[in-house]
Amino acid sequence: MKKDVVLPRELDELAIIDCIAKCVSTHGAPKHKEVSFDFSSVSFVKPTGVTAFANLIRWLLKWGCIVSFVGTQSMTRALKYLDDSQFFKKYLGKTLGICSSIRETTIELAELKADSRHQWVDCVLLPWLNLRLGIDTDGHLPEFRVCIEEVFNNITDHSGEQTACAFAQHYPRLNAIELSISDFGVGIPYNVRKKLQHAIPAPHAIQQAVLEGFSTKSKPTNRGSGLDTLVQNIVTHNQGTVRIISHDGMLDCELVEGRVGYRPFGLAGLYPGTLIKIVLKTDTIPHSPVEHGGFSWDF
Amino acid sequence: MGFLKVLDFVERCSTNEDGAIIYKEILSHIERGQKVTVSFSGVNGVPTSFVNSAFIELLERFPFDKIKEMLMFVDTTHQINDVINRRFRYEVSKVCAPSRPECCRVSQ
Repeated sequence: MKKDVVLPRELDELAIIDCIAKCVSTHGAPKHKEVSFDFSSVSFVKPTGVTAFANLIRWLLKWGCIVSFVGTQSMTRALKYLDDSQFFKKYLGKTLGICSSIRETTIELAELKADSRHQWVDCVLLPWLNLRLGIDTDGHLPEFRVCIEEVFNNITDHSGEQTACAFAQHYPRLNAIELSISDFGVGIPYNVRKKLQHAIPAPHAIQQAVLEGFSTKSKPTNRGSGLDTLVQNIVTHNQGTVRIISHDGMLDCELVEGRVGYRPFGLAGLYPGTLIKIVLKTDTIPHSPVEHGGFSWDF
Repeated sequence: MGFLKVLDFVERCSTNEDGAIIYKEILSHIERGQKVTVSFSGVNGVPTSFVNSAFIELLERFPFDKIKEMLMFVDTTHQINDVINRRFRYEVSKVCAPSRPECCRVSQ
């Protein structure tokens, strides 16, 4: 029997959770073999909404579900934004509108398998950033590429999931780049609880996972520090922010009095897997490229 | 003395697998009693997965003092210096816990 899901007015990483609840069971399997998503109420789509919704669609398709879209006859601004991201081209085979094309201020919505993620960073994300910012981003802020690699390595090592979705938008007036990456893997709380042998609440599990050295040892070579590095680089070095959502927990990381401040939240619904939203401040990126020099042990 | 430019062995320094390749090269030098210099020419930054697999893994075979003696890095950036020092500092401090003074590998 087909399930009709009416998408929310504002589609973002929190509003999507209600849609996910209608489609995904608590056991991590689809609730329905056929789902129809109704776009008629959508008036605004945020970058994280693109990423999370794409992840949901890909997950349903992977399970062999039939997915359809309704309420797309009228090209609203919200639909145009989604169409320009190439969302509909990805799932319908063509854009809704003839004039729809990737905006200068965004990248194309990406579905990335393990063997193509790092090439995507080099060949798609960084060139786009370089064009937007007018600098060699990796040369001026290598920490940013490193952070993306930390996220991808975490997905590869811990999620048990092959495909991740990614999308980014540049906000020139806000001096910010927002990048979100999502997978529907096992999620951070699952791995942390398995490691600790303790039913720690999801928000605190996520906070535990970003501590230096904490590793769930999903692989023997894991030693922790991936998520810690991500948070330290973005928050303390760049003065940006990081939001991590996984299961029914959310952790916001931002600069508070010169150090990383952590704010854990419980969510009313469940996000299977993990979504990471990085807001990179572009006005704090160093004007000069990094210099290569020598190394010395500092202890 | 051996010299190893990482980009001669891997396309990028991004993953555990990339690090494992570098680790094997370093190990072959150290096991022969040869000091080795690792060059990061062309690399602006490295994630912890790479550092863990390429260098931290050496702590499973050698004490830290030996690694400091045999392994050098050149053509690094501030980010690379920071992540290598931070990872080693953390792993060595775990080994030298007060409860295990006999395991201390860091010379005072």
